[in-house]
Amino acid sequence: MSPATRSATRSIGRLAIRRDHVVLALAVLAVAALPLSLSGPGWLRLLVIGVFLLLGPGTATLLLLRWPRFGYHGPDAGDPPAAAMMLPLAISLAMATSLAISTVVATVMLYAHAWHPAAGVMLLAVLVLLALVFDPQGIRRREARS
Amino acid sequence: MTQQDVHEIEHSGDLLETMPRPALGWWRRPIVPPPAALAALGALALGLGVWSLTRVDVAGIGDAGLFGALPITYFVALALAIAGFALVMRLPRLAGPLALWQIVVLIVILHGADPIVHQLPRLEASYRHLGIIDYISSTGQLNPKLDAYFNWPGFFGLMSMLSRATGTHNMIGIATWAPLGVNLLLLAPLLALASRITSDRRHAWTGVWLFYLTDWIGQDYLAPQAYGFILLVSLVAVVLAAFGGWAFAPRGRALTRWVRFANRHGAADRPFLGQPQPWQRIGLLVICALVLIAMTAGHQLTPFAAILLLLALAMVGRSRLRWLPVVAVLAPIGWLVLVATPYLSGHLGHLLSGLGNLADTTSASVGNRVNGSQTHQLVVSARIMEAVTVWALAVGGAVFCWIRRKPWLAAAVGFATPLVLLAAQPYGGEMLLRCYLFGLPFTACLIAMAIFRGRSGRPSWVTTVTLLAIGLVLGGTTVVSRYGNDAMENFSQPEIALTQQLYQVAPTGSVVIEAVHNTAWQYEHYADYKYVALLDAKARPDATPLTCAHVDTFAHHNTVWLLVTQSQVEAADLLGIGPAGDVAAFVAGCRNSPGWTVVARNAGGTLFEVQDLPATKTPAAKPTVPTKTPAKTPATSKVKGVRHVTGN
Repeated sequence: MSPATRSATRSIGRLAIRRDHVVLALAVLAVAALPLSLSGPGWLRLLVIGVFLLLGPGTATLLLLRWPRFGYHGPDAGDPPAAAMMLPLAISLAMATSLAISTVVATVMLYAHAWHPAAGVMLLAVLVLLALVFDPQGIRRREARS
Repeated sequence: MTQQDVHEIEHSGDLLETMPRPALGWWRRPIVPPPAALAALGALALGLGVWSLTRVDVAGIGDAGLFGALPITYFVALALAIAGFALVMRLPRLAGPLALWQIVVLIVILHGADPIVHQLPRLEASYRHLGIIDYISSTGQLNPKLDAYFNWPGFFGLMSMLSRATGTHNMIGIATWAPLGVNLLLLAPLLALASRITSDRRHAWTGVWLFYLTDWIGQDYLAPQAYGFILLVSLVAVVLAAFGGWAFAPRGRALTRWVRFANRHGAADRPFLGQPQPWQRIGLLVICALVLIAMTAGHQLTPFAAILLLLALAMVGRSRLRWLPVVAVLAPIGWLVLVATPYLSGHLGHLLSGLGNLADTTSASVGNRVNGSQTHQLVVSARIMEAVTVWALAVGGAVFCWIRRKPWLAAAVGFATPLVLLAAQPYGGEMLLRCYLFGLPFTACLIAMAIFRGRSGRPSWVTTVTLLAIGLVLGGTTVVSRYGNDAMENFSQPEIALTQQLYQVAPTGSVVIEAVHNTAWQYEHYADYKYVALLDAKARPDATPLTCAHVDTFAHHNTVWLLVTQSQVEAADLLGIGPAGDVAAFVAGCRNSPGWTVVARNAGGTLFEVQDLPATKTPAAKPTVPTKTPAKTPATSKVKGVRHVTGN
């Protein structure tokens, strides 16, 4: 194994660890958003639901798309600073997707005359948790085996 | 030459930095500040900057805006923040976290001044937006006939969902800190975009840094356009990263030559995201479409900038998505026809009348703005000069990059294409500002690439000093241009107290009047009153002087409330609305008129109750009602068949 490949493998290994951390943090956020969308201290509700609407659904979508697996395949994948430039893209994609999904949910509720913001947040939280449980690669692997 | 080779050449500077070098005498060794010292420098700048802002005497803010009231320590802090970034770029091995820290410090010092100094939302539009959020969150309804904002409710729906689901009924705190928050949220998308259109990480960081130094537009308050801009920058960054390449095969001689030219000058197109699986690519495409739809639902202008940018990137081989520009065209047109029908039916003629009328747009954006007090004219001149300088630097940068064989084409088309919008609609005289903002991420990257002589690697001292000098000039000018209207754009607690008093005494459904359209109200009771402005907040030196009869007209068989605040007086004097001192003279002259009662008075202004008395029935001059600016998100009220609309 060449030094460059070893370095790239190490980078991907680090990313895998980071991915687990992201999954855990997102799961905690989504679970916390469920009761907090109904009641709780004002500052905590604003913090948790604010961060959730800003990043939650988008991060779950990226995880569903197995983001890191196709995110670090450039020729400089073994170079940690170069790989770190992927982070802004991941954050902006997660943010834009979250804002877009949340906006669509809110807009649909308004036009459908079904304005239940707490239910909207809870729906998004449940979808995020389902996305975290769902593993498309695992399904593909099982299908390939069978 | 393979893409791998191209990449290695591009990064040869980085390789050279890590190679052992022959020992030099101490006098020839490069002076490199330790990273810890640079981090401490940033912390010092941040502490000094925030401390200076907390020491600003708000009473000292005059026609020159915040600039005249800032202590000298603020400028020292700004200079330290700028020097800190320039020195970080000089480090042998670029430290991303350190560059990030320096930019965050700059953002807080340069774009966090309003919330720190005033601790209230900036711009009267912020208060209107809060009112719409309050209306939607409490009723769950849209009312497109009340206001054109309701035809593009995406952003307001999102904020209302946040407000209601968190039980945060008072969003004033969020609106106050929005400029800081929006700029921080923009950081990641800007960096993602800059790293795709420049050939080196230092250039990308410098591009982002220059964006913050030159963004004096102030469209970062709690508004749909700030939301739309974040989505736009993210969308373009994703398209560049995941879908770079040509959307069409070159056919014919001219096209083949163009493709060759574009590949030579535009493509830093290494496979940033590798090769996603087809299902992953479909997922990313769905995300792009979703972002476009959300952008369309949230703001009426941003999708049109997205159309132009996506088309331009496809033309230079940086987006191989043929159908995305089609979706980008269909989404806003479909929205206008199918959803925003009430707005379209009332404004179609006006929307089309602006097409191609470049002269009107330019005069509305530039000529008509150089008015008002002499100091204000200096501020407007500083804005125009800064915009022209930035554009000139970008054009010079493009030429320089062409000569130095740097990838300039994508940045150049990104800078130039939003200007096409100028031919579309005057947008209330703000179109030039919006074009400046839409192109700014690209403009800043062009300037950054031109500052660094090489394609990559550590800059020389000459480059560092150039960076420092440009940063100081642009940063200093931005303090003037961004905060030049501070006297009228910010409000005080006494003004808010008067508004609260108004809502306590005036029964719902009443007509409430402002002398000049610049009042911190409507943040609640958005649909409960009929809001009227006697004068729009636009330069109109020939406006008829205000008389008591202007208000008495509305008080026919009725009781109305008139609110005249310090910010209205400042706006009239700064912008040159009517004769100098007109609003103050109007208040002094009408105070003792029959039927006029002072309900409340404080340092922020005066609240009058005006009753219809027989003695006041004198022939009234026709009130000056603000004109419509329908291409923008309009607000507000209907009184006696007159609809008052202002944009954001």
